[in-house]
Amino acid sequence: MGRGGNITLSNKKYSSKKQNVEIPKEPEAQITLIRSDKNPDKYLCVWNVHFGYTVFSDEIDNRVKKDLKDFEVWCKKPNSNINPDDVEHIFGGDFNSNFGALHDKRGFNCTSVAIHQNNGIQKCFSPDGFIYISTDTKNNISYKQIDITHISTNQSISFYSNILLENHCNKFSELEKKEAARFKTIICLDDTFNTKKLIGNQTIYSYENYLTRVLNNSSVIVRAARNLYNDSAVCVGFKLNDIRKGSNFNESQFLLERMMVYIQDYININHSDDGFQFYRETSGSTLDGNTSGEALLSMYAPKGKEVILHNAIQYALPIAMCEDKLRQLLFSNGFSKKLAKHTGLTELKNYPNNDFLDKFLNICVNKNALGNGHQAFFKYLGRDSDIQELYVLGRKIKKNISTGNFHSLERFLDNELDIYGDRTERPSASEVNGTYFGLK
Amino acid sequence: MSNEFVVENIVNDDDNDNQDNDAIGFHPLIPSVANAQKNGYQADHAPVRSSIATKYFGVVNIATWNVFGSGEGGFDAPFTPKNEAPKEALHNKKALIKNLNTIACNDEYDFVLIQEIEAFTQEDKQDTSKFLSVAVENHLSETQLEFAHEYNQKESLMER
Repeated sequence: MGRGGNITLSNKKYSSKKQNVEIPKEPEAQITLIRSDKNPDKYLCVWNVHFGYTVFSDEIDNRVKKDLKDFEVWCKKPNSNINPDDVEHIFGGDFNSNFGALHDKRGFNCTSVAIHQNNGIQKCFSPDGFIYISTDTKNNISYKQIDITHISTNQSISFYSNILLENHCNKFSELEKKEAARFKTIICLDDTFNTKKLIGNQTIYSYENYLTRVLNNSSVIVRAARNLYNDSAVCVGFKLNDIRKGSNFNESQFLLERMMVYIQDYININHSDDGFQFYRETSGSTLDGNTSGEALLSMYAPKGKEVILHNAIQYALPIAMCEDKLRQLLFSNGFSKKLAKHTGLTELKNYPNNDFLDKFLNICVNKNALGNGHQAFFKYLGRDSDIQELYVLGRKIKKNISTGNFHSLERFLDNELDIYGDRTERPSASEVNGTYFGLK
Repeated sequence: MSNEFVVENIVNDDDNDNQDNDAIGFHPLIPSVANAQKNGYQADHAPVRSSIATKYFGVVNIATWNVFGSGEGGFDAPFTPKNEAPKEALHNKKALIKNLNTIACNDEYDFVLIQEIEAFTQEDKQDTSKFLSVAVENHLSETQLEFAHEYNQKESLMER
């Protein structure tokens, strides 16, 4: 949806001090540049912005940074005569529910919550706000405390002791309460996020860099989150490609999907009542105003439980990465000839249900993988088929590799397929009839 | 300065169901949240304000309000019962006028940022210009008096 209807009204005392600004910018941003009276080389730049709702709050972070960068570029043009270091900035406008209070006092961080009668739940809304960027350093960005004003009287409404809102929220149905408790990522531009250690004894940004590096994937986001009661949380999210494009299975997404599975497994087994939230969120609209099919696998750890999410990630990392590596090897060109000789693997790869392959990989690398799903998997495949070979291979892989040691995994698989190719006999009964997979 | 500006009520009843909502297309919503706006809350966005201590401009008083739904037949769906849509739109515009006039009289704000002040008909556009000018003439000057004039937003609005 195209953005429109932005109007910036400035006090008439500034009328003679306005400076013309013609920088290339997105249509949803409007700039008013004012020259200071007392310090004529200093300026105040007021941005009236209108961002679309997105589950990817990092996009708004990046957008504000880009706007500031564009402004700097404009300042350096010959005709501007403005030093960007002499400009203070205020961003205000419609941040579309991506603001959250910096403090974590419980209250009502919302202006509304509503539920569609027919089909599902509507997003909750939280108040807009302001960002201030001083001239001292462009990295020093701060949120500003806000008051809500009554739409008719213009009187300030004390936000966190808001009787009207409290009365409204106290009448929530169970479905509305659930929606109000739902976490969502918030804009994390405030300077405190550069220093406050929120997860893994790191800031959200250093933790994001850490996960990006170990997963070798730039789709990771780590952000602070809030719900409508202003409960705080940390979100670790994985962005998935746009499903609208109808692209085939994305190799890099496999690892992220499996990470989500193992993290969720860990928490569900040991911490199911600790208030963690997991979603596969789809962005309703992005900053360009278009409906999008991009998805975010998001995991929210409530305040005080961040260490559990960190531990779950540490648990999931070696398993998911080993599984991912094994999958890559099984599909790699380097192994294709050797793999073709392994009838079990060939059959497995050709199965239309990708889930079977996932289960096999899981069994190979995950010592806890003895659930009913896996038993059903092998029972379905049938013990008399060539899939029997998989029992043996999976068993050997599990015995001979340590998760996280990808070099040994590759070497082992290479050797094993060599041996298999030279074999003239099928696995012995003792090899097949083990109880390794929990099957008799 | 006049606070008596009245927005004409122009909404199409396309399907002859005697409900003036067809130009927008409202989601049916549960009634329990329908009255919040009557308590002073606009659905979606409440107007917010802040006093920001700047280094070279002193304390800057600034307000922002996304007045989504200010257009004729405004789309304040979450809190707007289906058959009350035009009333709510009118309520929003009146509130905006009153709010801006209060600002104008008190010389309170350095900046007021408005988004989505939409108009759905030509007459509505003229009306909106007119009431904005009330505030502009008295206290505030506009950077850019430009607002959406979008007759065909039904699908876009439904996405909300």
